[in-house]
Amino acid sequence: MSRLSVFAARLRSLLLRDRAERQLDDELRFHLEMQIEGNIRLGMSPREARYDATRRFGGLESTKREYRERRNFTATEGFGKDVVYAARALRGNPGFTAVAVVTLALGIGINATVFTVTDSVLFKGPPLVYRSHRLLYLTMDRGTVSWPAFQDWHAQTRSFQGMAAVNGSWLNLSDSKGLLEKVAGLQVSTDIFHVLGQKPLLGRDFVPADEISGTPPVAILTYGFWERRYGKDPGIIGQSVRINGIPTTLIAVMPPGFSFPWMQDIWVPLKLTPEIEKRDNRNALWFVIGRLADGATDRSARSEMESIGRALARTYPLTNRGWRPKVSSFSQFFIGSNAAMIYGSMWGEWLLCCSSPVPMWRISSWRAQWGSRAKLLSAWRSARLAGASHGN
Amino acid sequence: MAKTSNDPAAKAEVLQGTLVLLVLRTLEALGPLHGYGIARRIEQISKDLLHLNQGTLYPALLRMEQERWITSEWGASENNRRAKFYSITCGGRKQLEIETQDWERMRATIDRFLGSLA
Repeated sequence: MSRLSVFAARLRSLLLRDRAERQLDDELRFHLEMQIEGNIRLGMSPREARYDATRRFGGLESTKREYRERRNFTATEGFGKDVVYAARALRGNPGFTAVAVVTLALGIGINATVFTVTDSVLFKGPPLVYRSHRLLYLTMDRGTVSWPAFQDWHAQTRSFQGMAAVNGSWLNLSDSKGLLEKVAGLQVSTDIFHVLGQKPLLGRDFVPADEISGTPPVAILTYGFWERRYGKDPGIIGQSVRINGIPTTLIAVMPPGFSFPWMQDIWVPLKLTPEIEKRDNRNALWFVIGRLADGATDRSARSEMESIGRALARTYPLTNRGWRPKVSSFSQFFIGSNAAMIYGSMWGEWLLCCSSPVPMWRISSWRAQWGSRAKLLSAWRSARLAGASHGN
Repeated sequence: MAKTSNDPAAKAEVLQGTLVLLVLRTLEALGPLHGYGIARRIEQISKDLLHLNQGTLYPALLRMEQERWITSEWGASENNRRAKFYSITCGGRKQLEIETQDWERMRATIDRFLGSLA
């Protein structure tokens, strides 16, 4: 309370410095005059009276100095002094102040926006993106993985309790409504929802038989698509639609808010064809998603996958030599190794923006300094000239 | 060798820290007073035994005002001149109590010392 009230009083006096200085003069002058008049009444000469008054007072200038030090912020108050210095300088230079304030305001505003957008889109992902720190994304370091390699990984791994492969594609969907709609779809291996730990809200999950060529085609919808296209009609389960022209049965709807991996509307099982089962077909899959087994870590999973990859390269040198499995976390997979750089550059930009008034400041104070130096210089020159002419 | 009380050099300097006590007590007793009035009063009460460097009064008054123990207001003096009048606040009265107690304690301590040596 006391510190605060002293601070407040000093801040006031800073803002009203000239007035405070005048008042101090008035007050001290009043004191001295009273003393002088009293002394004269006691019979002193005016000169004696004045001398006695100043003696009793004891140092007018030192009193003023002490008074000012107490009134204003002083060097002993470190940070306070800096603040005051800055405030004074800013007050003395409104143009600079305006530019600095606008720069900082824009910088902070823009950065806050970029930060928020980047954070929500890239780092947290859109609300529909499914993520979990137990889920890892697997590809090959030089590209995507082939279906047979995925099968081998799946069979050999101990670090993952489940693995599923996905391949994204746009699908043309038409139904009794007659409206053809292009939807974001995903071909998946049938244990995808098991790996993700999700169960349908309505209907049945995929079964392994759904992968086999020749079994009736089926599809599962997101809640959002079900709501949008079918008005949440539960009767849609079991109905047949055409996907890419092929009659397909809708077997399930997933829970609200869930999609995978991004904003898919519909999932269909991968149908195994001789083409997909070629070891050199690396266009079959987007990526593999794996759920870590209990006790496994990102690290142990990586080292296990590397050794599995080396074994595959030895077994299938023609197709697999030089291809190494790559294990990524959600952010590494979707943002890439640039994640740190993106974050770093956001911070860097912010710092840059905050420090941008500094050079302006330096320039404006240099100008002020050189202004006074020029005056000194010309005064010195005239003095020298005067001296020289005097000498002559 | 002993200096008499008439010797100006024998005047005791106002002790550091006691000035607040003297000012607060003066304002409490006499009501609003300007700086010169306070200085004169302190000198009168002490019968000129106390040497007050009048100039030191003003930084002290400022500090007390910052601490909100006293307030100040510009007004007309007894000879109708513009002067700054100080008066004690509620906080000032509390502070006066504290300072008085501190002084009493100090005096008792010093007394004991002097007594034990006697």
